[in-house]
Amino acid sequence: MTRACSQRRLGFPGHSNRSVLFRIMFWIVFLAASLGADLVWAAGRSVSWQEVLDLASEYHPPGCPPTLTAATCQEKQAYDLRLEILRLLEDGKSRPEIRQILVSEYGNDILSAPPPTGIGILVWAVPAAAVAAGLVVFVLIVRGRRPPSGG
Amino acid sequence: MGDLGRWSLILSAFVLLYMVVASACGAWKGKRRWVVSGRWAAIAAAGLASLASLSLIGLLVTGDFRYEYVADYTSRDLGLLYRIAAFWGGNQGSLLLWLWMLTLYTAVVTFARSEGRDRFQPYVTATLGVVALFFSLVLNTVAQPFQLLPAAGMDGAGLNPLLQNPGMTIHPLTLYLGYIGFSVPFAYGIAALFTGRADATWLRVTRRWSLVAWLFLSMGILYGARWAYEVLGWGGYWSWDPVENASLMPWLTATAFIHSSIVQERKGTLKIWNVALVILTFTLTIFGTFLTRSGIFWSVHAFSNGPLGAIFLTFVGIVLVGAFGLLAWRWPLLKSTAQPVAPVSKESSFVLNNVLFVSMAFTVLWGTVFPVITRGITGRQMVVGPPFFNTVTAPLAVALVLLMGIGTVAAWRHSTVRRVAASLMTPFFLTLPAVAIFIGVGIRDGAVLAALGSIVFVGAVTVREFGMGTAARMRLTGESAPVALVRLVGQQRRRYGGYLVHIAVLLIVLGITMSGVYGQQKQVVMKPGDVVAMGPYQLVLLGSATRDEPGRAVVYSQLLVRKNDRSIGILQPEDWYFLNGAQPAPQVAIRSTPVDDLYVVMAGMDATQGKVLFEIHLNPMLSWIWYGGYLLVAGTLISLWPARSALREVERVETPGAEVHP
Repeated sequence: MTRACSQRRLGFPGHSNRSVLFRIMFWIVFLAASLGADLVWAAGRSVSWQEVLDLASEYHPPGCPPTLTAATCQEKQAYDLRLEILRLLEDGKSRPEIRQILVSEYGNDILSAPPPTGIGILVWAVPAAAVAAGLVVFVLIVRGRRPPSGG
Repeated sequence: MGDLGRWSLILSAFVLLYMVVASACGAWKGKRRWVVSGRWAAIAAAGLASLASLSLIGLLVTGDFRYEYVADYTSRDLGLLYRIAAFWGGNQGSLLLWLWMLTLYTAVVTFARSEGRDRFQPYVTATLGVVALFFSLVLNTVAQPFQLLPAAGMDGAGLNPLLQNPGMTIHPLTLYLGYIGFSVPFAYGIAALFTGRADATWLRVTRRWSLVAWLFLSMGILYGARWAYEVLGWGGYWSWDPVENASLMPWLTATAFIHSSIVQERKGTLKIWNVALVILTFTLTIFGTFLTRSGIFWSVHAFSNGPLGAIFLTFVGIVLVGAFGLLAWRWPLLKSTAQPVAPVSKESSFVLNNVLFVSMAFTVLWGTVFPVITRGITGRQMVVGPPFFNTVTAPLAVALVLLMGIGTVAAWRHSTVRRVAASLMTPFFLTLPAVAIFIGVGIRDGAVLAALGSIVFVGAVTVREFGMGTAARMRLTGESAPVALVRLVGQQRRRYGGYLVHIAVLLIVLGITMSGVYGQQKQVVMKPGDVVAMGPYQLVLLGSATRDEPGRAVVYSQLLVRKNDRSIGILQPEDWYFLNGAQPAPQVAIRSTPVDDLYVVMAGMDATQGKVLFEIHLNPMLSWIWYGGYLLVAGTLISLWPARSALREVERVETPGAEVHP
């Protein structure tokens, strides 16, 4: 605590700006409430946190930004989902079982990458087809059946 | 000052229109006077865009809150650096920056003495003028930076706290310089099509432009990654966000172009492919601008919704149809001079490299737009997140790394499998013990072993190139090893600068692999005096406190870091609470070493009990990504640095009367 500027211990007695104090308290209470579950099980769990995060990276909590997974999102619903994954792991559920449970509970939107079924198959098949087509073009070029890329 | 800027912008549209018409008609009709007046219009346009830009910067610095843009992106308590950075921190300002840089580039290209200037210049100026005119029209209509507020405010909203980071002042600027830079090779490609002279001249002229744009884009991506790592607080640096993808896609096609242009320069082939790549790269830069402004994607980088997205998408469509239509028109001419590519040769390795780079760019594009496609078809937007991108791009990246080694040893024109295999034998046998060591230290994951083995293998191939070149030079000249190495690189800057960039890429891949696979994370609740272990470290919470700073209150904690029973430093993560009500921003504390990064975020607290919740990450070798970035910059600069003979050539050309211009 060596900063030269004014410092106070937590609790902020006599803080001059009540609105700032209010905001700080609001966020503290919000975060504490949303993370309360984490506080409860933080000690003494049998499943490692890393296992939870590895699995959480395969799921996208509803309401989180589309590019963040349950492992990286910092919204409350991500914390809740991580807790749910932890409970399922502690119950001895396997990865496919957990996937089945979460999909039945939330639908396919819970997956952070579409399953290769229905329209979701396109997202996986098209890149594979593109790479295959590129390799065919490469073979044609080096075999001299067509001029190199037409040029 | 605002009126000066507004009128400069309005005038710039007319001057740019004149520049396009005069240059295009002058070239088409062979009217030298029109071409010359088009050149002076390029200078005038650059001057007007500079006036407009400097006016906006002046308004931001002086805090003139009568203007909407100033009120939206600055505030009285904002420091000078961030007031200037606010110029590109918002939608209108960033578009004005684009226009400013583009008109400056146009003026430089128009007056630069270069090979084939008389033939290409009017078309190049006209093409760049069309792009600049588009931006000028947008700025004069739907994205006006000099819009006045109905009533002047006393203070502004301030710059987004997430953008108040030194890295964030550089990241957008370098990214824009990269994006805008690709306009120049694009304009030359179009000029080559118009003139029907698509030999390697336009590639030689634009090689440095392409490399400079590529360097800026690379720096922009790396700065962006570093900003995300240090500011966003989730322990990572890349989340496959649509706007991140928008910067990666042109980088991938541009990297393919930089390699394939070498083939055309050496062998006169791949002409259509090179023009197509440069069109794609330019279009992807505009597409990136569309992504940021369309509002159809969620992104931490997005500016706003509104008509801009539709306008940019229309422009992308016009560019694609126009440029590829031109390419189709010239197809027979370009096709006729094609030469075959031997199956085993440096050319074929470059073609395969191009296939992989373009496939990766397409994959990223597909994954980025797929949610919008599903929304259009099913009415529900599907999430395509990091697991998709990681799964699909990782094998392509490993293949590209391996190809980097194989392509290095393959000979031009024709080689044999036996010869290439013989050249790779020594690096291969060096890789085997390295892989055994990796297994010995506990790495069992096959994908990780493949990635690390590829890095060692290609690293050995590349280092051997330096070694063989140096040894040959020592034999010939009797120089010492350091002198021979420096002179070798100095005399073949393009080649060895490129090899340094290859090594830089290996370092980056190493950092990505190790931090991605072996990164650890934990959440812990601590009260003063508590100790938590993370890898080889022990962290002791000393305490938490608060302090006031201009515009914000700061809550912070101090953690003593110990290793092997020795104190090695203090980490101080913070949470910033802004007086203007903006969302609180965590300030990450990082202890970075070449071995690992210890990364601590204050995720929450229970003030009544004095407990703090921390997220602690241990990211092995992540800093090697940044080291690779520094080496990438150094290697590209070496590759860009003009050789003495080129400098003499420039001096000769610049001698008055040495060249006759139209």
